[in-house]
Amino acid sequence: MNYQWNWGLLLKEPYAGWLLTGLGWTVALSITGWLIALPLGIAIGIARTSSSRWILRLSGFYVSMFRNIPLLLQMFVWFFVVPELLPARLGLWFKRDLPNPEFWTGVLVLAFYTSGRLAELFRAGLQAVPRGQRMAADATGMNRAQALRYIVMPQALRIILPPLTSEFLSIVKNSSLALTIGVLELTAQSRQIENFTFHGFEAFGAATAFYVLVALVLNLVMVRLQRTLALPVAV
Amino acid sequence: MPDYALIVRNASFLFDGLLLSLTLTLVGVIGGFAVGTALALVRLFTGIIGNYVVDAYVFVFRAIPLILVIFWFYFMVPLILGRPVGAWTSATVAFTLFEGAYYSEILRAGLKSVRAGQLNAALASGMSRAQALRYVILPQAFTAMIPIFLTQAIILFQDTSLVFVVSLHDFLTATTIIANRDGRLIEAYTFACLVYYLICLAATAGVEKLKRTFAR
Amino acid sequence: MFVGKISLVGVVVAVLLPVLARGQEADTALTRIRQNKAVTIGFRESAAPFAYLNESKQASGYSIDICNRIAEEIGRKLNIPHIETRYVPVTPQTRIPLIANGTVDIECGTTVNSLARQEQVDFSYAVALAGGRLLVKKTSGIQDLSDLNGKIVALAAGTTAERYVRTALDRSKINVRVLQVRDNAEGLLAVNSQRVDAFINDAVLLGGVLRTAQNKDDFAIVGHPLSFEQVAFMVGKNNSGLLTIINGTIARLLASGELHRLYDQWITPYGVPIEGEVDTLFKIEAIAE
Repeated sequence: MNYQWNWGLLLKEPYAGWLLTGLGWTVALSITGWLIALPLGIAIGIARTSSSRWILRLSGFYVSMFRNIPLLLQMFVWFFVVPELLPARLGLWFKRDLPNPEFWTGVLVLAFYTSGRLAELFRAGLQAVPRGQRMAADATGMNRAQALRYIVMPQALRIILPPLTSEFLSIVKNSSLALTIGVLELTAQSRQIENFTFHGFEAFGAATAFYVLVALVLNLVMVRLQRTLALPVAV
Repeated sequence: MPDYALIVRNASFLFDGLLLSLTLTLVGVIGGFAVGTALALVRLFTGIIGNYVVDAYVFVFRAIPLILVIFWFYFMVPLILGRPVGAWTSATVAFTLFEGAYYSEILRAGLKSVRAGQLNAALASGMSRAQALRYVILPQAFTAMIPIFLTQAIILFQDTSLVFVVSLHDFLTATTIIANRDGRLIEAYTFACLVYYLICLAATAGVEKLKRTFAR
Repeated sequence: MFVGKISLVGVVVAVLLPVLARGQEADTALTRIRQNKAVTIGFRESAAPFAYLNESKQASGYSIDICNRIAEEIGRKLNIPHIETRYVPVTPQTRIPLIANGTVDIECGTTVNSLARQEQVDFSYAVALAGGRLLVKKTSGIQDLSDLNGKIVALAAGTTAERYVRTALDRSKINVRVLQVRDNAEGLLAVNSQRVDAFINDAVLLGGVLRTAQNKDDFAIVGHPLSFEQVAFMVGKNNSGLLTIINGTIARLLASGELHRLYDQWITPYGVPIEGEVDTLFKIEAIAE
């Protein structure tokens, strides 16, 4: 194996700067995408438990669409196709006048994709709450919206909070796909470093270390959450 | 004016791409299953260290993006083997090891799901531990796991599109090539969406049906 | 306990050391070629006229033609009649790693010689000169780099253009946003869809990607050359035997005028004829026997 090691490379400019910029973009993509996906996901998730067949079907189609098409293809559709389908002025704005159009396209793709998965998660959570709870809420005179807000949703959140952290890890991992439309996030930067210096182990190792760190932190958060949220046992 | 004749013109090129996607999925499933089983066995038959190593392996592969895994092996496999290796081989290795991590978790969950009483009953009726595993535990575990395996396979089919980053001509990469070549992005990408959507929808429906047949 | 730990470390090091310390073997490429009775040529799939995939999905182009002749010469020198040529597609990102790790023996594309690249690969004599220019829409009115102030530019990832353009922009303090694209086709697409105002790459490559464009009359290649770079073939380090054969072939092709013929056939139609620097280069490289 003909390989020269040089770990100090990662601390030298401009490579250190590249990694930090990449890190910044990854974090920005993940958090912004999450902030949009969460309310969207909750809304669709509630729609998935609707009694109206029409709403059920429509939200079902929404989820099915984002789940059955590969994320990379969704990225290309939003980047190459959607701007062409918009009215000319809007399309142009979306393509160039918007600051960081690639970033925002990436955010939208991640947001919609994740919202589909979150919707299913919320649906499962809502349906896991025992029916008795809803009946009791009804008996005390609450309407459906109040029951949802005060009784059902809090209990559902308790159930899905752990898988929710794993979904956040997913969006962090999926942010790497934005490199295909020109966002120089962490994985892209590590590859850029490998391109320029051919020190792949160091470059990819740095990226790997970061993702593993995020996963470790989220794991700890999840364990903490599970402990805090555990319902006190009678015995 | 939409020009869908583009699809017809390039049908064989696109079909080859689809074939590659499916082949890669198959290889990933079989290889991943083999690796997953190996990991599960390591867990069962080695002590604390073995479990720790497998835990670390699974944790890392589930923590990093698949694109990064592909880059890693594209760079590393030829370096380790010390001889020329193409994108296909690197991608295969990457997917096999990646899926192996997920499959080992599915196996672990599946084995756990079989109630302890089953093992006790088997041992009580005179079977050895190995026999109990083979005739009682594993069959039950597998029926539970097969739908999840298949669902993971469908996810893998979608993930094969990521070989785009190493220019392997899977279905999506083939689509982008003809889209750029003929300048017909909308037609090409909507066609690709349709194909993936129909395949995954059909496959998911198939798995649902299987689940219902298995349900006791 | 401590002894156990030390011996464990010792075992690990002993196992890894031979792997890490394997010496720099010489002429591994020729050994490989002898073993496989085949030359593995890395080529670009969409870098016309140097290397591209033609209608019948065959590798063709200026670099390919030269490399085929090089392969014949290798077959003659190594006494391998009917030596096979295998073609492996490469991209700007993968071409150097694939040479460095031995997947391909010779890279025949449009790779430009640079000192940074020379740390990982060796280059043959130049077979063409690359000059960076701008691909723009005629209606944009952009004539040169200085017109790009406040605009958006596309650069292909992993190309030398990406580096020297960024340096040039930083030096001249022009405020430009850069979009990174995967290859020349995507660069053209970015200009066409008005996502960027200009795509900068070597003039010949721009000419190439423009020829297959649906609306080629909407575009123009403008600007004075941003670089004078040598387009050459790459081989892995420590392959002086192979490099000698390659350079010898190129020199002989130049002396006989065959290379000029190939150049006129492939490159001249793209607006870069054999004159000025290119003419001088060819004269200098026609080294005598």
